[in-house]
Amino acid sequence: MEIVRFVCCAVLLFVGLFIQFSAALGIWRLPSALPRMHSVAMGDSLGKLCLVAGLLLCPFDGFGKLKLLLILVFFWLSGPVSSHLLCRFQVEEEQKDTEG
Amino acid sequence: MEIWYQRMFAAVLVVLALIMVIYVIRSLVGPTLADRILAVNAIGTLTIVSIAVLAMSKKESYLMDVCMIYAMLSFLAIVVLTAFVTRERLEIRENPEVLEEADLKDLDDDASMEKRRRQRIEEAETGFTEELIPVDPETEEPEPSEGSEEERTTVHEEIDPMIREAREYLEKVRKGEL
Repeated sequence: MEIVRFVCCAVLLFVGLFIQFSAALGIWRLPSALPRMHSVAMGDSLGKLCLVAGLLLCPFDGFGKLKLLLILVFFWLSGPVSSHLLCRFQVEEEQKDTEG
Repeated sequence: MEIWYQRMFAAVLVVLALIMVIYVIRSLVGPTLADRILAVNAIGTLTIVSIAVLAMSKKESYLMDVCMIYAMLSFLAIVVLTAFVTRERLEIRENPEVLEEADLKDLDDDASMEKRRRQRIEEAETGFTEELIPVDPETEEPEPSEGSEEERTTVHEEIDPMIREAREYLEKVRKGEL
């Protein structure tokens, strides 16, 4: 049983790391800022979900896991907001470039 | 079993550090400001994950609090940076002279508010004097409005009904009714 738990934990953690690595690859492969934003947002949401799920499977007692869940929820709430703000910022910049 | 968990956490931390290096290079190279902000945001995310891994590895629950604070701070940094720059830019596009006068205007506003407040107190203490009642360009808005004196007068009356009363009284005195 312990072995199964360890394997699940390790698989989830490394899948999360793989997704984060693909996001980091996307930030070099994609042409401009808005596509890069897309790649980083995918890494932030799915990659962080896998990493946190892997950490939640670890043997650990106490309120730490609850706090970890809280951090995940906070990230899911704050990520789209910051993405939207950054997107608006970038669109403003491109409009300014085309105007003058 | 414990030793295997420790080794796995160490491996995860190493890979996270390598991914972070990729983002650091992007934030140094990135052609636009949005690229840099994006890369720094992603670095913040990875830092939070590595602090969580450390907390699990050391079995210390208080490191999760550090994680939470870090998440809130990185979100706040993004909001402040983008909102501030975007708002400034919008103002400049709508009226370009705003930027040049902006800091002077703020100071001026404070000073004129103070001046007006003192005048109110004087008015209350000494009663009305004649030179306070016509709209004085120095004590009112420094920029002259396009409308005539009447327009400014109505604005003034809206601000203070007591001044309107005094104005009517003065008009009567001038016409010789009293």
